[in-house]
Amino acid sequence: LSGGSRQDRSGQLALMDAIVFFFVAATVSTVLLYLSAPGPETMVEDHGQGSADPSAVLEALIHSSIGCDLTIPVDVPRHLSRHTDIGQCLLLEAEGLIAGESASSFDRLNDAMGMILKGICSPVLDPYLSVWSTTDSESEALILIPGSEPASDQKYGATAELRNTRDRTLTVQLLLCPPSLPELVDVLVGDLDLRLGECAPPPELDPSDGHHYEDQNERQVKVESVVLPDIDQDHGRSHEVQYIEHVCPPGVRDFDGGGVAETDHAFVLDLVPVLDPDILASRAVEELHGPRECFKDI
Amino acid sequence: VNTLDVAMRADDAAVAGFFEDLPVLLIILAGVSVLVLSGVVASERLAEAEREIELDQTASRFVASIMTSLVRDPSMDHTSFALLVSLNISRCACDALDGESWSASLVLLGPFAEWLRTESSAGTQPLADTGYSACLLNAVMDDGLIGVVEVTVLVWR
Repeated sequence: LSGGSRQDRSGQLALMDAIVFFFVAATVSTVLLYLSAPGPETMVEDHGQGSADPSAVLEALIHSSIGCDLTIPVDVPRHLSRHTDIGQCLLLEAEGLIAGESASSFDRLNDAMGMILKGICSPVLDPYLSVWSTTDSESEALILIPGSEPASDQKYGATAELRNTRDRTLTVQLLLCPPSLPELVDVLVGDLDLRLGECAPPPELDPSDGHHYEDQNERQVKVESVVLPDIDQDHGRSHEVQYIEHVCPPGVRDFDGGGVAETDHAFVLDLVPVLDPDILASRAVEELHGPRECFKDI
Repeated sequence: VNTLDVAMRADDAAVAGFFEDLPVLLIILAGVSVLVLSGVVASERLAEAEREIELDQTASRFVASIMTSLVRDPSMDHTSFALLVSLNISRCACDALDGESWSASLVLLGPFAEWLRTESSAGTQPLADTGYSACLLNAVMDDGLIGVVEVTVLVWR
């Protein structure tokens, strides 16, 4: 075996090539991972017109009945039956305000409409309804429910037009905004009260307990605590509660007396579909998938 | 006494050996590993996203099937409570789904909240991927009130 060398710097070339190759590989990998990460174009999917879609909420709201009998204490008191739809109520209030009635006369009506609006739209969103009188020269806000402008920069909205008896066009605008402090959201799941925490990666569990999380994904919402009502000791636990005890050991140890037990190892995905269908919560599903997937920008 | 005399010469006769190439080999292996791992992760992500999109579309078809059954007259945008109660959701699932497990719920959201009904497929299978879709519609109650009902569907396999 013999070899020779030349008086040049080619002896360093292999190492230099390897280093260059490594950095190129790292760069290509970074680009690959970045491009494959779920971005806005894949997160915004068509999930139908649920309670997080402002246009669907607005359309359903306008055609919904007010649900309670009300008397508006204006100069000539107006009686609204519980069958009156909210679109009519908005028109009536707008006409009254344009005619110079006091805004406080419509407080009860606004409260009733605000409660219905809050019930219709997603629980993880704050709704803001406004009615604008539009003329050729300017727009004026006549009605604000709940009485203030949204503070959040992130808004999703829809508008609809109502026409009053004097052929004046009123614009109804609905804005849905994420709440300012979304740390915890209480979601009622049948007779279970799940308090949802933030998304968290699956914890490392002891495989010996027979429960694995390999297939869990990052969209899961961690259940911070499970609040259960009192139970009748004579009848024992239902199979749903027994399942929860199985799914989230060792977090849930004591359900008695409606106590709260920490369940750091439980996820909504574990709790929802495999339970009895009666306690499947649409709102928990919504939490699970996240309302941003249903949003459409204004 | 034999002594080993080693004479160092300053010339170019030395031969590079195997161990001198080990650092190069390690760096190359690390680069290849990074490439392979990122490729696997990226393909997994894309496959998962594709599965989710497919399931979401399936859920949307399921909701559309339910809505078609509820609102038979396209000129009307609301349904009746009697139809909500009597709707055969399983038949809609058969029309729209391809063996996926499903759960559908009808909830009255306004003017007051009421849990109307929930149905799900007979056998529940272990959960891996889920698809979700929802829809709002107006429904006329027995006493003439018009309420807002949310149809929520979850499919998984």
